[in-house]
Amino acid sequence: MKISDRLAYKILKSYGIETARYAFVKDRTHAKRISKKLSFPLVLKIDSPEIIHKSESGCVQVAFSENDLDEKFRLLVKNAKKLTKKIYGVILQERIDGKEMMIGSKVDEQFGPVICFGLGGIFIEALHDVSFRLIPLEKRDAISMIKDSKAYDVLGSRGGSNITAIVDTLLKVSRFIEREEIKELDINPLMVNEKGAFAVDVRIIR
Amino acid sequence: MDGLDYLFNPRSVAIIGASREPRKFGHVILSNFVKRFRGKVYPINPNAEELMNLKCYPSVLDVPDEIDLAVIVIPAEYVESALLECGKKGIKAVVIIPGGFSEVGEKEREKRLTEIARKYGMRLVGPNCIGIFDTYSHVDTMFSPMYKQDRPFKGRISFISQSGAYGTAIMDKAAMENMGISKFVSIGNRADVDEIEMIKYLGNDKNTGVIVLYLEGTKNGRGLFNALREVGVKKPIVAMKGGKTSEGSRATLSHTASLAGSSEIFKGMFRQSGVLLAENSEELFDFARALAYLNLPKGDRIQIVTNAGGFGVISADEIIENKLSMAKLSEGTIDRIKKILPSYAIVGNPIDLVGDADSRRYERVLKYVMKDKGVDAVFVVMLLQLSALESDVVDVLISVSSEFEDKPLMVCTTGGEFTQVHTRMMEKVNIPTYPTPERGIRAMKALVDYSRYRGIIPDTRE
Repeated sequence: MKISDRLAYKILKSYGIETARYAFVKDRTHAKRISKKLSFPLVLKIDSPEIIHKSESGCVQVAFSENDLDEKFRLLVKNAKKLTKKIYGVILQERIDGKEMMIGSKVDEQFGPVICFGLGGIFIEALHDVSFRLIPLEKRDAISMIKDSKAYDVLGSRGGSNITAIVDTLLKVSRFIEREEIKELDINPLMVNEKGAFAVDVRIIR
Repeated sequence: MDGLDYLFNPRSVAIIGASREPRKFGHVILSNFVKRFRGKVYPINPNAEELMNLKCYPSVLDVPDEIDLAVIVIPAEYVESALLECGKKGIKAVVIIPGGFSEVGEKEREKRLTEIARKYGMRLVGPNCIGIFDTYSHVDTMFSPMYKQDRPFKGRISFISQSGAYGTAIMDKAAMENMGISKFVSIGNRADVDEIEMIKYLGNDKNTGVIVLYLEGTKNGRGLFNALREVGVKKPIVAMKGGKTSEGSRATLSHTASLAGSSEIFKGMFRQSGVLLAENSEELFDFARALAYLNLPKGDRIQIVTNAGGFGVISADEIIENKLSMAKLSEGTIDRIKKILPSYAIVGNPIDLVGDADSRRYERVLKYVMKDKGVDAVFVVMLLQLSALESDVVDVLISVSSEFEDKPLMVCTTGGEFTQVHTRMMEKVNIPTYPTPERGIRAMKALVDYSRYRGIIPDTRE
């Protein structure tokens, strides 16, 4: 069962995994108030256990200004209600630019908990570029799994500090999976830029 | 002695199902032991008095002496009672050749074998396997007759295979190509001894320098991972996973689950445990030969020496493609080499000795190259089709390799029968020789990877 996004982000934060700045809101007025503390453009995402593939169903919207926010919020909720009544609320999230990577985890029948890393976003389906390791991960494993993936070439020669941030995130995710009872995890995309590596979307199946 | 020692080094062997009929497995296996095994051999067959001049017994219980190893070669339905007799006789290890167990759904039948083995403290290989082949002790349960399948000579490569037939074919090929083998184990259904225990055993075996593994799956993933990690720091392990098609494409909730076919996870697990991953069966033994014959390089800077320009170019491409480095010779070395080469030869990387190079030219140049501190390993390309190059180039390579044995030297030579004769000569003296630059440099890469894993080449990857 997919846990709520609100909880998922909280758990990531508690393990020191960086996320895009976000807030969880219940309604439009709440959203308007909270948005003053964040900077536009904001990404609006439905938090519902029933909606797994959000972007395909119009359950992700981008608001470029405060005016825009009201309209997009209304649209978002309308789209979501077509699919389900079970809606926890909405996540408002600052948009981050960077290179799209992904980190995942699952429990394998033969090997138990495993972790993977690769190119994220739209590349994931097309390129199937992921490298796996068994959990728990050591630092050298984290480095080698990045090197095994094409993501390493995408990060380019100036990837040094980015790689440190990804290694750090991989080790934290490994520790998180070790301690919690999680069946599957997707952090996709993990946005990597000069400031670090940030979980932008997360899906946790318990 | 460890239980598994009796599989490889028994003092006496009983062949249950020994037969006078030449096409029967029980005949072939008995004859293997009669021909080469130095310990005692007891054929077991209630319908024969004597086989190959040996007294035949109706049951192992009738043999007056101690038996270390039994090889069972009778149909599945009779195996259980034969195994029970082995237990009562106090036999230490058993190889069960026939199929007809869990692989065809007869799980209970197989479970009973495991129970009997545990009860009597016997170690069991199989069922549904080819069993054991050891070039040192001459234990040989391969049931292909020697006139159809050659046996390789002694070497340092040991091979654990989940597929029996594949292993048999490899042994045949190894014999033809002069690739030395230490042990071959076909683990079959793994009713008792599995790949994990075998890896650990071979990790401590003094006759095994490299472990080669062909696996399609495992019953104990974490156990396998731990065994590979434990043994991988002692000796190199080269592995290939059979069954590469992804089973991960089923509809799932997360991307991760849909991407995680067992091959991908196996691959990651192998990388994590320092195992060298072969993409196909050629690579499996290309890597193993390099690792078995050569010392580990202290860096990844490769120097090419060739008598054919094109092959030099292809080799250089492969070095770059495989993320190795092109060595840069010192000015001193370049000067010395230039003095001994004709003016139309090219000294750099590659060094092109050009088409009229003879053995002497190879020798003089290679000695300078081997001495150069900027070179970690040497890739020698030699086309034997050229008239100036005579067979004595093999002697040159032997003497250079042994004089500078710390620096790996491998050879690439492409061609027909004449070339292959020389390839076999070099293989026999442990100079790894490859038919194409692609295969050679991939093996070089495996050597460098393992050296890095062992910390001989410092890992500067951060």
